[in-house]
Amino acid sequence: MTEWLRSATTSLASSGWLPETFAYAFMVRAMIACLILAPLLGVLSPLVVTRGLAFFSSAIGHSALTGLALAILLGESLDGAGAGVLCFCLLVSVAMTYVRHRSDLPSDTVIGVFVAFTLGLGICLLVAVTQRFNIHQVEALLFGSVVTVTESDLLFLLGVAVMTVLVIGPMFNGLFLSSVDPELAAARRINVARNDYFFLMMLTAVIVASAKVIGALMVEALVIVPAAIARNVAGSLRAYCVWSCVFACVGTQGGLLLGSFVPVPTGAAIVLVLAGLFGVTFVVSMATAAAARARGRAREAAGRK
Amino acid sequence: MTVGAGVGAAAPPLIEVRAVTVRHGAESVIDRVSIDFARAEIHAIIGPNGGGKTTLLRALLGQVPFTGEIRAGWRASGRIGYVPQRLRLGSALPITVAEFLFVAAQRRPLWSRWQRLRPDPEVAPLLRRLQLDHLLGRRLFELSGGERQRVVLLQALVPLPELLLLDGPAGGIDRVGLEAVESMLQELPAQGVTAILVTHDLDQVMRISQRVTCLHHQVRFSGPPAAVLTDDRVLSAFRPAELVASPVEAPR
Repeated sequence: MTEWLRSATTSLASSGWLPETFAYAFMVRAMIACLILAPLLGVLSPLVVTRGLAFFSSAIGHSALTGLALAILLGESLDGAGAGVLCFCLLVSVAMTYVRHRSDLPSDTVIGVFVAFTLGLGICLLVAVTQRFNIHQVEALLFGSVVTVTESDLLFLLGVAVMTVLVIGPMFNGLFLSSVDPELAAARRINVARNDYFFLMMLTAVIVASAKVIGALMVEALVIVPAAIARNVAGSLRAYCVWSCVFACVGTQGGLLLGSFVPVPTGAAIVLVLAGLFGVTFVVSMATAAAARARGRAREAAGRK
Repeated sequence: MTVGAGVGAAAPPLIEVRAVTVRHGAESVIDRVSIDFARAEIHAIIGPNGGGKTTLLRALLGQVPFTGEIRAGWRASGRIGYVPQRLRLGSALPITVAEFLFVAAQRRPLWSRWQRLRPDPEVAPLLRRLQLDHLLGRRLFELSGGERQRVVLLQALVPLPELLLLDGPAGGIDRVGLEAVESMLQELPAQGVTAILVTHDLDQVMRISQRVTCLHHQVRFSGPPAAVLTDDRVLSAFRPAELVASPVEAPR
């Protein structure tokens, strides 16, 4: 697969269809990473938005940085810290869910407390870490970098993707039903609390795995923006999920392409493309709605005559 | 043995609620409530707002911690159909009526089906009776309160439950829909379904229920509607004691 895609992009690059950076192996690896990651985040995105978890994803992104600093302080190398980051983020995710289920406070307040805590801890730890590492190496996790994607990263990403499909697939309908009405879902023998834990742990794993490719700060955007774009154009739940996947793929590949023309971080380029798509679909949906209202008024006026 | 309307007294009840207390903080929302819900009957729960009607349903659903005992003598599926007072649904979720019915009843993820969603054959007559068949492609959040409530009722009836819990559907249902809903509810006992109906509409209680319980933290009265729904009782149940004692209130 890697070889085939690489020969394809190399020939496209040499014939001038693609920028010449696509002839390099790291660019092909970045493309493959995005092709795994985009549909995955695209399917999760509507669930995140519907369940009001935008801020939750942001908290996990922040705690990835804290987890990295912690792993390095405990003696891991920069490249081998992935498992440590994942463990720390899962811990934060489970703790947050536990408190959210039991506290009387609104969900975003509970998450805000955790964001404050992990950020504070992260900053303290980073100061200690920068005495041993160049801060730019740590920055790669924040802003993402295509050159740092390795074959083992791809395998990790693929593993997380397969796990997510296996775990979330059977509970997909139940997750939507419980966000429409948790008690109705419970009456239909759906274990709402268990589903919530599983979903949030898988979401955490996906965010951590993607952070290496497009950066922790940018994953948050990729978890939220595809659904926001899709909501502008979708007339049903199914279209919502499908469009979200499509826009996530278009946004990530478009961002890679943009990043090869202009010297900007890949993650930032991807987010800019996605934001642009949101702007366009928003204007189109406003125009469509206005046109529908005008048609309705015209029909009314014709009816009166 | 056939379970049908009117078997009543001799058969053991489907649900026995014994001295159930639900506390919210220091206050008890319902206090040592005991009710029998007989098989294959429509049992209405009435009472003032905040009197604990919805809390009782949530206790029956096992959604709220309580002391006391709730025993269920299931004989069939043991399935519970639930119609909440209103869905917590915003316009962020563009789910259509057909999709809602699919998501509620099926395990297969929604996006795994590419062909147009068609309701199952046994659902089609229910759709027609509840006057929902023309709404299948509409988005749930665009429907009127009454239409949405009928969709949720349909969801609760597929597959046919052994116990149906309805929380206040009368308030939100339009007049045309109301007749359709009531005629459908009236047929449930013959199909072996027990329904517990929380309502504010006393005429509806008289029309369709076999038994009524008035709940105001405790059970105020309980029995067949024609026998227990007298003016005095209803007035004293719905009005605070001081208002009954001095019925003349200065207009503001």
